[in-house]
Amino acid sequence: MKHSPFDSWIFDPDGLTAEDDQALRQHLAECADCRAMAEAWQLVEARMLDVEPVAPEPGFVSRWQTRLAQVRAKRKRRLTWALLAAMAGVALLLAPYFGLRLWASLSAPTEVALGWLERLQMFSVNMEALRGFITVVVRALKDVNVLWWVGLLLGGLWVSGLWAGLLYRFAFKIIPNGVSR
Amino acid sequence: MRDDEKRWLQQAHQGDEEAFSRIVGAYQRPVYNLCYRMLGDHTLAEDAAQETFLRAYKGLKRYDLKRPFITWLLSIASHHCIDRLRRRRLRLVPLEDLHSAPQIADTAPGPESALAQAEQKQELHQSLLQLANKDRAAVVLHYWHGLSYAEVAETLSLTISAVKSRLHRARRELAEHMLNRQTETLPI
Repeated sequence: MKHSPFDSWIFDPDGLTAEDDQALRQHLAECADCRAMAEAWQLVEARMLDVEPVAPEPGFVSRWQTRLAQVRAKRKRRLTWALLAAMAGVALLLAPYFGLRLWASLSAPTEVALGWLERLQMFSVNMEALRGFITVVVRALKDVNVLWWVGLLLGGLWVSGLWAGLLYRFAFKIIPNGVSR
Repeated sequence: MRDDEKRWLQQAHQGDEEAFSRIVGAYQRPVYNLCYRMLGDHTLAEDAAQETFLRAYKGLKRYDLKRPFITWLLSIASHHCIDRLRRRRLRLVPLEDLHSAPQIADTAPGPESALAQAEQKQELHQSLLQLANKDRAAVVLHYWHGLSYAEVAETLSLTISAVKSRLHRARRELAEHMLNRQTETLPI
């Protein structure tokens, strides 16, 4: 006896035309094998639709919250270790350079000390030169008209305001009822 | 989806952890059921369900609120279970352990019919675990969670015709398994 396509129709009854459905019923009335298969499938389907969904043990939500906290703690520890490893790596890379510098200092301490004294002396000389420059400028400005000072101040304020306005305009997006970033 | 669940979801989407915990409470059963039917073991199901909710929590910012939440959640669960099964590279054959049976309300009138019901459920569970992973997922989603072919396809990242093909194959296998069991239990 020919079972095709009835043996497929048993498992996909949706979409069968009325004629196909009639043909299937007739075949099932005649064919014991297909009828047994159809009955077996109906039984399985009925059991599947009858069985309730399985529930977890009570306390699932609190277990999940604990697990979330553990995952977060683990991530934080991992980040901390990664940061420490990065710092250790940088320190290892810089160690030879500073080691050599230290060795040079320890090998010739007098030269190193003299070098630092020279740098300090140069710094003092530069500070003295700067003091002289500021004195000259202040003396020269004493003779400047007060109006020039006012004009300079207003000009400075205008430039500052322009700069702040441009910064605000391009850094923030203006929307009708407020400002958003 | 209920109105309070929609509200929790919106709050959780904005970073409210307490709201997401309520979501976990509301959806623990369908997620756990899917994981149990897929993995066949309560301990594994618990772990997989917890992991599903963790992934959902981490990925919530990317979730589109217009999509059905249950479909998205079950998609995460089913993919996670299938990945676990693939890593283990075996189709599960469960232990005969009626003492660790899941929490299902027993409405049978007497102890004999209760035992028969429990046996039937265990047989069904064993039959399901014989199916291929994605076939099993399609069956569970369609029959336990009431998802349409289109929703199953979206959940499992398959085409609708692939879902129909997998369900057809799964139905045939389940029916054959039932027939074989009936043949084995026939009196001589």
